[in-house]
Amino acid sequence: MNSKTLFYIVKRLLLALLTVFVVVTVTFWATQAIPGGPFNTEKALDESVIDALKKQFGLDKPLFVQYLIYLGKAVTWDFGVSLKVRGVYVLDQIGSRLPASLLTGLSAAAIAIILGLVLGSTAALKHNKKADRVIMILSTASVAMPSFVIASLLSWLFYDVFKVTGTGAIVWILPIITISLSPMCYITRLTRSATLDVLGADYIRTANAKGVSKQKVLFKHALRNSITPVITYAGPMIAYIITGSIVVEQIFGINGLGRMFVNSITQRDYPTIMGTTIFLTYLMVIMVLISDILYKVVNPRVELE
Amino acid sequence: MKLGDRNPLSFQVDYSRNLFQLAETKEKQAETLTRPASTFLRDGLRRFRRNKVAVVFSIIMLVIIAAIIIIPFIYPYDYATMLGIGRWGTDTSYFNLAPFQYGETEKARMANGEFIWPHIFGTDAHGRDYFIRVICGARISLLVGVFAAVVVLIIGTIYGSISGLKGGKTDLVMMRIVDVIYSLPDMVIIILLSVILNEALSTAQGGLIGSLGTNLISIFIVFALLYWVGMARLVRGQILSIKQQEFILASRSMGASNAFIIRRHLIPNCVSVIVVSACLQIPSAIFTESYLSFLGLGVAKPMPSLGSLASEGRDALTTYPWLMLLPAFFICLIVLSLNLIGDGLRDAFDPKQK
Repeated sequence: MNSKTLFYIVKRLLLALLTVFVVVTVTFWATQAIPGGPFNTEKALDESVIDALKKQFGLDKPLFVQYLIYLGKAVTWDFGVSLKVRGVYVLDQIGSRLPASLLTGLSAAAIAIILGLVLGSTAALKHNKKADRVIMILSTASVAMPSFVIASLLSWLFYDVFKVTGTGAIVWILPIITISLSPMCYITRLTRSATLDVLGADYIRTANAKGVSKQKVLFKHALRNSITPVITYAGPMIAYIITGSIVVEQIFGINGLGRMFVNSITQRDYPTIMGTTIFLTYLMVIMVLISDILYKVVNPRVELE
Repeated sequence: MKLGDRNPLSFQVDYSRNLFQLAETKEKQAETLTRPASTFLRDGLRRFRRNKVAVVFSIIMLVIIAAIIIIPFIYPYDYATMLGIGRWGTDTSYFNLAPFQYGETEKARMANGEFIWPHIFGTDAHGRDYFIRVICGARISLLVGVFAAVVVLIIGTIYGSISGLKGGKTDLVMMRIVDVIYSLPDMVIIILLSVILNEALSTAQGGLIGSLGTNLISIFIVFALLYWVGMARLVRGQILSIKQQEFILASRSMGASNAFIIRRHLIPNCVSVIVVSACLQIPSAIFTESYLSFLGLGVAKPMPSLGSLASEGRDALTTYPWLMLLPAFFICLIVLSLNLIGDGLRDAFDPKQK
């Protein structure tokens, strides 16, 4: 690793920290804009009780001091206690919900990447033939459906038409399919156009001319180059799948982060809302960072700015 | 020395001989343009017309747009009127009617020979005519999409072109801001902001905000805050790459002013990219709106959007499947059409990007 690469990584890290800082700032000041305080109840509380409560939660300090304290807490991942679930730390709550999201998210991402690469390169190899057409039509059509529609239709098909019953692994299949569908289609299209570009290059013609087998040309020469756009897409995609499958988690009743986020929003549980937002931002930023660095590793020609 | 009386080995042209002839009119006109030069727009449109899929879906889209503009004015039912509820009480026979079915009192009136306009898509759980709800829903969804696209177009283009034209430190700072916004988990931030904006705006009743609903306003604000970064990056990249090309240098060396270069070279070369990207922005905004509707953060009731109709219909999927399938079908149709039109436009106006 030369100094240039190191400089690049440091720069990206700083940018990542800046992003987290922005999110913390926005969430803090945005929640301040909400009318009404946390101790507004139907029964009017005694002034002295409210003062005592404010003192206990540090709300008697000036806003800016509160903001600085919150910034410090965000760095150390101390998101405080949930307002609605009594006596539970937000971080513990996140920890208990994360595995479900990771399981669905990562398996969906794996499926999306593998199938997307296979379908995309197949379509490119069979360019303008039937297989290409079918793959392109399907991938264009399924991007046009919102995931809650896909989820509802799939569960209707599965549970009401085919009468599938059972617990265990089967419960996870539908959400994973639903989540993976749209990134898979996107990766398919990315791979297809990248592979088509690469297959037209001179060095592929040379490889073909000297009698390298078709498989070897595809896997050894073409795929390595056509995979680079997929990598730049994959990092944010994984983070997006984990953070953005809110709707699917809601429909299939998966106890993941997304569902927790929505619940905390409907319950107006601000510490949880802020904590989850900041945690998800960390996740997103880290994934983007990894994919940026990986991109450079796979494709050494990339100039680092 | 007389002309013509010269050294035969000289390279000088001997003008004394009759070397030149008068050109004929036909020859004179060989260089004139007989047809008007094909403009960029006309070229692109010709290529677009050759793309069968894009043309078909453009026609579908035009029909949908015409329908959502005209039908609410001429259709006999209203999207908010609950047909089964009136001064006489509640008539449950109007709830969840299947397509082309009628309520009890309507049947009685029809028996008297009166003409009752059919409920083409049936009615919903509150006895409201579903066809007009779907049409109005499509109206709202498209409105959200178009508005988002316009906002993104304006902010993104201005931001991107300032960044690209200024260059240097300004560019650096502006692009870092874009980078930060770009790596936000957008769905989470959107939900967070729309919840907070809802709470903050809900105190402001009446007026424009009251009539549109706080949710819709917050959706618009969120789009304006977050969605422009992609466009800004695109415009900046385009401007940077054009700025370095030789024809700009040539134009500059011929004394063209900055304003002229921007007007004559930069804008025409960016327009296609901007328009295509804005066109592809509409479906993405429609999607976001439908997710927010699903989470209960969409447009205010009883105003429908396709997303809120589909997510309401989801509860009755097994008993009254059309309540979800119809709006879902229209979302798919609109999003698919816009995607394909956008792709077609890109292929037609920006062949390099294909």
